[in-house]
Amino acid sequence: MASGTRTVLDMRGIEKRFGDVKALGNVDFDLDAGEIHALLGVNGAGKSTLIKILSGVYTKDGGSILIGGVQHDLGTPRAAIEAGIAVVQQHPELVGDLTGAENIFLGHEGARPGLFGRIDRSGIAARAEALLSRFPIQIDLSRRVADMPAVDREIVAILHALRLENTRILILDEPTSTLTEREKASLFSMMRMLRAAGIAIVYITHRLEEVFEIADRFTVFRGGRNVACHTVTEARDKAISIPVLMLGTGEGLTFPPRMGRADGDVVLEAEGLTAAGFANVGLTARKGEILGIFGLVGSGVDELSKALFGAIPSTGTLRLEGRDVRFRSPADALKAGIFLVPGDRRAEGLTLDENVIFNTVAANMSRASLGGLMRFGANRRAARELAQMVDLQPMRLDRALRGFSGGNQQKVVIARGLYRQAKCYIFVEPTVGVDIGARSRIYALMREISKDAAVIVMSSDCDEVHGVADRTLALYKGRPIEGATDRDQLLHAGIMGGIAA
Amino acid sequence: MISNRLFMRLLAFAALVAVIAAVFWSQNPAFLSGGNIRALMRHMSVQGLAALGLTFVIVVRHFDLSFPGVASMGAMTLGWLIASGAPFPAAIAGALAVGLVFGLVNGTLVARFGLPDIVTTIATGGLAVGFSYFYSNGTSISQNFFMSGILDLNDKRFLGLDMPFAILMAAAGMAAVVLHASRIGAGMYATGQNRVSARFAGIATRRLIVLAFALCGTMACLAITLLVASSGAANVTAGGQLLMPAFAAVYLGAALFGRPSVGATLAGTLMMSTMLNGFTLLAIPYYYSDAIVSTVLIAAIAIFDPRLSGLLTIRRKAAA
Amino acid sequence: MRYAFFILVAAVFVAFAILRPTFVTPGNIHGMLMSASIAGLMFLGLTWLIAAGEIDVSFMSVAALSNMVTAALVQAGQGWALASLGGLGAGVAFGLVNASLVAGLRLPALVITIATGALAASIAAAIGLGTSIALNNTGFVGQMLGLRVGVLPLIAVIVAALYAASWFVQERLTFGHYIYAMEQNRAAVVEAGVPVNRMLFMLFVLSGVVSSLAGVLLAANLSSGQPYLARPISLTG
Repeated sequence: MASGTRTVLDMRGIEKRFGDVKALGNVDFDLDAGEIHALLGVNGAGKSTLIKILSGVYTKDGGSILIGGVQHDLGTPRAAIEAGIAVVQQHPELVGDLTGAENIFLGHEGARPGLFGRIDRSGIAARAEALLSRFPIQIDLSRRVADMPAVDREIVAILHALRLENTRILILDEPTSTLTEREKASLFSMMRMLRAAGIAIVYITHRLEEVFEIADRFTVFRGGRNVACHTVTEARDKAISIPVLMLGTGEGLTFPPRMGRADGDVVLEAEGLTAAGFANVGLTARKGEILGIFGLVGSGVDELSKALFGAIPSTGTLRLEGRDVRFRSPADALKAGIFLVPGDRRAEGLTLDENVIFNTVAANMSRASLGGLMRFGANRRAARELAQMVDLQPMRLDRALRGFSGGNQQKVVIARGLYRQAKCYIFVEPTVGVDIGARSRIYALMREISKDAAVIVMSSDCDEVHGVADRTLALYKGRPIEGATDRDQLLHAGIMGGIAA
Repeated sequence: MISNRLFMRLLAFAALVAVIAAVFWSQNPAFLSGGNIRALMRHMSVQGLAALGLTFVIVVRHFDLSFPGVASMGAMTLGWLIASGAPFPAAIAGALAVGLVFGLVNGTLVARFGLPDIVTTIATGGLAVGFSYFYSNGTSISQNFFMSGILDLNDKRFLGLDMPFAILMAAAGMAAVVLHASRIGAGMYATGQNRVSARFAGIATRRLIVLAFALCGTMACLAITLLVASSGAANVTAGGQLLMPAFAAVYLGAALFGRPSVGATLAGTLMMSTMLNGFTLLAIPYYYSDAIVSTVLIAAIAIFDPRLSGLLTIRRKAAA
Repeated sequence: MRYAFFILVAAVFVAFAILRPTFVTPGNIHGMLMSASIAGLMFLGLTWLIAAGEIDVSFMSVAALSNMVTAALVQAGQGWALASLGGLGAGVAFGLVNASLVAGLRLPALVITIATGALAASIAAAIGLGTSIALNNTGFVGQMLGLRVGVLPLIAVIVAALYAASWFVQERLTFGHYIYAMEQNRAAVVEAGVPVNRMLFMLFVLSGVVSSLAGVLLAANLSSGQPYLARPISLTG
């Protein structure tokens, strides 16, 4: 599909530096009309810098950009929009109380733009109609956005990007990260329809399986360079390994050896656990082993972890060391001996402006204080000991957490859990935004912790779950699927909802 | 354990106060006389107590606009209790109870029912002012004051310090322990910075927010008690003069020291009081000095705003 | 949520109206309607700002300042026309200051307007050297206040009309549409290319203008300049 079509975008020798750091060095990237082009790479590989240059947020330091054969500089977002480039951010900004159509035409409600125009409601409806006739999609744009499912919000954001007639290039930044499988399918069908209408789509994703599902071509970034560009057919035929391209060779992950003990005391048991996002989940976590739960974003893993931790209400049976328990708040769960390493550590796990000591002891104030007063000396000693244990780098106990890398922030969350001395540790997406070196350390720590406590690891990274856990379980659309015996079966269970024959 | 950065800030602050003091002293040498410094510390006491209370609310990232009204009601409650013959400790307890109750109501409305803090506290503050009219239909109360012993709060001395300043120091000491050395304060900072992560760490965020509002109301009433003791009468507008100086002290302090804290608030109060005292000494009418203080506050917020100071550093880098 | 704010504002307004001794002259419905209308005018700007998710607590002091400026100019023999313009000018000036600091420099609205409110209050007090200014005539403004439409004071009708106009702008014009959207998700409105800062700027100036208008009317209504207009009930109190 890629060959023989018209090139709409041709970027050559793009350079970008930030101070002394070279973010992009001599990057080439091209795009054909009516293709879906996946942009791949680990965090920091240069994808988002390229996108920001393309959308006019950053100015390039060197190189040339041809759009439709015409030289463009794209110094400002406005210039990018005028050149026909539209971006849909990962978390599109929408106003919940307005309808889909009102969101699409926000800023253009009147006959003429201006602050004191009469709102032309029938005009908005007519324009929405016209837009839907160009891109025939099943969506009710007269609903309030707050009442829409996630995929419809995504579609509203895409339609917003396409409302201008001249849009030729659409950039989608991880649009599926909050969608369920079925929603993803309807998003993909919309993308195919846009492709048929001649729109070139740049598709950024971290889920490699999606590349083969939807893309025509893909470009891999590593260390600020484009290291490979293949059609999907080519990659399939030649069995090209995208992970190897993304990570480079010799940088594979090392998982600690499994212990395979399945005879430890049962610590946490759930039966028929149900909450918003998942239903009827049963699980058993034993001391001495790691239970892995694989589920894509939107599958209910995040909700499951929060229900086990008392952060969202749930029904069903929960037993801790044989006794029935019900947690009404995270404080209850912590008291009982559950510790959660949450999926979004910046929003849920850490107090970023406080230092390492504070963050280490935060979840166990009774231990950190005596008669209500903080034990400063003892806390510092404990934090230092735990920081050494988790291999914090740099070892700066007085530095605010904001000043550490993602991996080291995660290590502090783990140190906090160790300080809490819980009976059951739940890790959610433990290595998102964590570099490879820190990853291995975190996996080793999990194994270490599992010697004295039950560990549950929940992740949307199948290899991670499979690599680190003794026993696994998949969650698909809020439904538990057991019985996977190897990596491929687990992947299949989490993505398709069944065990492959 | 004092870091370099804090040391620099302290130094800068001391220099600033020294400059202000030197200017006033050059205009009127009486500025540095023992009598005037005592007057300054007295002035600090009332403002400082109200500002300390507000500090707790600012630390949990909320606003309280009700404490001036609540203080007015506390003043009238105090006056009414004394006028009706209650012993002065009971009268003070009554005044503090008013602050406590309103603080608890504010905190509960904001933390438990999720109402917007600004509008809610304007409303409860308005209510408190309304209630303060009930005691005497709005006239000021001063019966029995001389007999009751409440004036001792203003006149007595304690360890060589005037009573009001001794009370401020004691309150500041306790506030510092709570905010900077106890699990309550640690929880409050965590709550203010990231409520979700604080909750996930098992911190009782709602309870701490309620506590912060309760402390704010109570300390505003303690401040007004000292003011009533020094003026010898309670009136319905007493609390109004607390609002601006309290916000100014907390924000000025936070601007100088990077975050709100007991020390920062005291520093802010010291600066405000030094200026106001100096103007009084130079016989500048209060309405001019108020204008100067509010201008200083606006300037401080503007100059220390992270984005603006960020801009300055970028320029400096570009120039280098 | 959008209505919770308004219910609260209404509650505060009612509380103010009931509790405020200077406003409420019992036994005189006409006077009460008049006072309520002037207070309503003063609050008009604030309702807009709250709808947009901002706040202005300086409005009462700005009204007091305009009130004093007007009274002082009348007392100095300048005539009501010039005096009223002077009063309005003071309100516009403070509206511009608030607008530049909050909408322009993006400083925190609450603290800034507390400070500018205190500034306005102290200037108001300074004009009268700490006391009020009594006026022996209320000029054309007084005559205007005396006009009636049927049983209602004209000013009440005008203020009601202003509120109706506000409702129209908020519900039917893009301006109000953007304000509601802004309260929910400012980033979305900014991204849509709406000049959000300019809108906020206008709202702060509007708040200054309506407050000062109320201040001018109060000078005639009370036949005096009252520097502590804001004192008994408001925040600066």
